[in-house]
Amino acid sequence: MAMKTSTSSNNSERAPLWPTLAALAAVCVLGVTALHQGTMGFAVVGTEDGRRLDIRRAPRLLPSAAIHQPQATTLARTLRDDDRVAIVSFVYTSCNAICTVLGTEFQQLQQEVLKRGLQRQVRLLSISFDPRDDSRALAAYAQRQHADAQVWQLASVDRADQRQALLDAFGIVVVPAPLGEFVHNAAFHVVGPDGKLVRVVDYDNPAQALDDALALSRSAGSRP
Amino acid sequence: MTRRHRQRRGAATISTAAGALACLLLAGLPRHWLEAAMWRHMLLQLPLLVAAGCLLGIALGTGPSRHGLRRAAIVDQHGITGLSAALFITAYWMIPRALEQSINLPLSEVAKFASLPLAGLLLAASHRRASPVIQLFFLGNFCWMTAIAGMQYQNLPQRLCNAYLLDDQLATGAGLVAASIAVAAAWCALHAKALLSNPDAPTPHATTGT
Repeated sequence: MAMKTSTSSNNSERAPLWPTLAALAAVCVLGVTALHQGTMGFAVVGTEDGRRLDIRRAPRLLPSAAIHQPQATTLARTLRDDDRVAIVSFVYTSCNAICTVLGTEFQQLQQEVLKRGLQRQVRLLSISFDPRDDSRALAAYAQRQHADAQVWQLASVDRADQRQALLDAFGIVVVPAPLGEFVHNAAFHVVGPDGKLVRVVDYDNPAQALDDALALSRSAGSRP
Repeated sequence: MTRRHRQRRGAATISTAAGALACLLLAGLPRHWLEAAMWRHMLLQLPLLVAAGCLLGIALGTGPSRHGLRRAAIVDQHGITGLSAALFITAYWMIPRALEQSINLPLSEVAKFASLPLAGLLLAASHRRASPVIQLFFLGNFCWMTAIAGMQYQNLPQRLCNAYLLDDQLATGAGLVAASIAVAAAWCALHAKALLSNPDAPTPHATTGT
């Protein structure tokens, strides 16, 4: 009896610990859930890795943006009318930094496609996000890069809203940089004739981009 | 308590609350400018939001609602619940992907403007309940996390946010390392006197439990 009294008096002096422990457990569950969500299941920390993982998990249907090649068309139409898988990259023709690298990678990809006779399954498409790039600028760029029109086409987007919608759909962020350059998350984008962006491959791995494009071409071809 | 005493305390509460509002406005009104560079986003806007919550917490602690706040101690003994929540919130906003989402998704921006002041509020309320040892535990976790994130921002060859340039990321990384050292130094400076004079005596802050 005396024991019980002393315990209860003790309790009134010191609050029980269990409400704190329960609240702490709830905080930990919420916190870990938030971190799990923020890192896509503890898989990524950076935005670009997140974009690539997101597209790998759920291919994106691209909007039908108005483009010029140099004739006016839409992205959906050019993808559908040409039943090949497209490897898409974003460029601006006055670029001296990464676009030159991407251009060189595209040149090597073009050679690889021609050498292996894959031009019926895969094509290359460079889309400029620079409003200054008109048909003439693109034609000059194509000539500089020795683009074979059968394999490698270029496109510009005239209307600002269409351009932004396209960049948003791909998840491309263009940041103005010093010396009139742009910094953007450059990569190879594997796009099917159905207008779906299925895979994003790093620009230092063109062989993987080609493999992914061929795999998509085969799976699309095997469908009834 | 004398009337004069009470008046002085009321004035202090009001000026602290005004400081909280000023921090919130400084973080919110020029938010596009602050968020246009990674270093301004992480090293100015995020601390301003935490400071806003912190000052609000201090104002509430001395203001008329302080008894209600004291009742929260029942789920926050030794301040461990509040300090843990503050640590999770600050950890979340150090994820570059989460940081960039806040400039693209309105919901994420709202979450940032709600959660970081909450972290500050919890910090102000809970650190009073925590003994220096518990404070040091959470401080150590925060500083370690911030410094590691800062070093990662500087060591990785690729950009972590698509919206920010690599040079900006390097500067932010260096700033995070400097901030982690500054926070630790500030805590030591604040507690040095109490700890050095009598390490066994409870500090005026450490009123736990009740």
